[in-house]
Amino acid sequence: MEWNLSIIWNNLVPLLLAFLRTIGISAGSIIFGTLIGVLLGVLSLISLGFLSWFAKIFIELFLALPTLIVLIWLYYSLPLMIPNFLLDGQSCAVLGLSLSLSAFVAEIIRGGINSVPLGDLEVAYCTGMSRFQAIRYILIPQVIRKSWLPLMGQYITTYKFSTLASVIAVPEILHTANSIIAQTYRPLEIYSAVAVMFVVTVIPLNLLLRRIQRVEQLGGIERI
Amino acid sequence: MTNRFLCINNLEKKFKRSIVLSNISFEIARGESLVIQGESGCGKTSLLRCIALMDGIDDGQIIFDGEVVSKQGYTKRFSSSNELAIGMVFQQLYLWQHMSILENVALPLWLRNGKNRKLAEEAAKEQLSQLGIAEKFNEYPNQLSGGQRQRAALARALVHSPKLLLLDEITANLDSENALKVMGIIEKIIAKGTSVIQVTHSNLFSRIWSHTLLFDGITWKLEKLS
Repeated sequence: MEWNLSIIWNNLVPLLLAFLRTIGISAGSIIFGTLIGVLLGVLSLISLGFLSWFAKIFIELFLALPTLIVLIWLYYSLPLMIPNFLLDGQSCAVLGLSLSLSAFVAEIIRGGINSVPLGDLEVAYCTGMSRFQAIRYILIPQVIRKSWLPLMGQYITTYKFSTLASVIAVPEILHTANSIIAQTYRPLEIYSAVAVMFVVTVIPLNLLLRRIQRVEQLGGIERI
Repeated sequence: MTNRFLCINNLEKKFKRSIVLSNISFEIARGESLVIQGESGCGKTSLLRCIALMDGIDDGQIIFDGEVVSKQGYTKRFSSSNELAIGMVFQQLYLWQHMSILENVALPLWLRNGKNRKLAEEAAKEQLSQLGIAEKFNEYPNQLSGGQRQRAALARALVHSPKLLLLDEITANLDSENALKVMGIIEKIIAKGTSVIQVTHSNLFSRIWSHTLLFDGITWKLEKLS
């Protein structure tokens, strides 16, 4: 089969618009997933009775569930259980991706908090800091330092998983690509174009992260 | 003993149901120094943590500078006065790894006293230079040697000019040369009139202590050394 690059050129605008939508879904999922995940991570560590148990069960559940199943269940099954719960595909995608991401964020945050020695906080109290000051100046900066890299890894995974939204009729990049292929019968060029869009956005990001990590390991970045 | 500064009366400490410390009584006067010695696991560090008000006690009394403080949590205790009365250096030091040495020393002072940050840093630099590591103030804990880290942790405890300094086996992880340097600093601190209590296994440097609290396997005994 010969390459016909004009197919890509002729469909570039819808592809780019759909790709922007993909980025939007990813960004929304990352923001909500992080907020929910940080809350869950903290709740799972402190003794708050029902809330702590809820957080632990929630984390285990969404660590176990494949993201695709979460999206399909939210879109097709949940409205059958709760008839008034009607979300459009895009909202469902953001919700599902956020919930899946939040479990991993919670685990990363929990690990980050656990990695800070209790003695660091005890010293803070001994030097006269209040609980708030100890959390603000001693705990949070160290948790960020230890968590940012695995978090970035999860964010990139969420970005790639956002193509799963195509199965619930969200007109994101993969769904749009399928529509164009249905009209042009040119999967080679269109799917390749979609692949290139992900590659040119993810590889520079990965390289940048590795660069920052290397500089950090060499002691170049000592503060957040 | 006159001028009671720290008075421990029949202190008892339990962890769950097991008694770790029982019937400990002693007192030291202002400016006196005490070394706590005993076999591993006999409760030396637990006693130090009780005196630092980091752990509560189950019975007895701790009277510090005329005030019964044993029922107060240590954060509450330190929040109730403008000056930090008790400084402590832990065996593991717990220097904050994400901060430079200067920030480690200046931050508590800045937050505690509401001082201008620059003033706090000036005071921290002064303290670090007194301990001989002024040139290291921009470096991070993992860039320093064991002895330098020890002195940085001491600077952090001393920058508030505490009346009582508690030291938990601070020379345990040092070679003899660095241990000697650190103990020389402690000797100067004692000479300036600060009361110091140190937990240690070592019998070295015994000349600098005025009292020893020794656990002989059954009871704790206070002995005057000099």
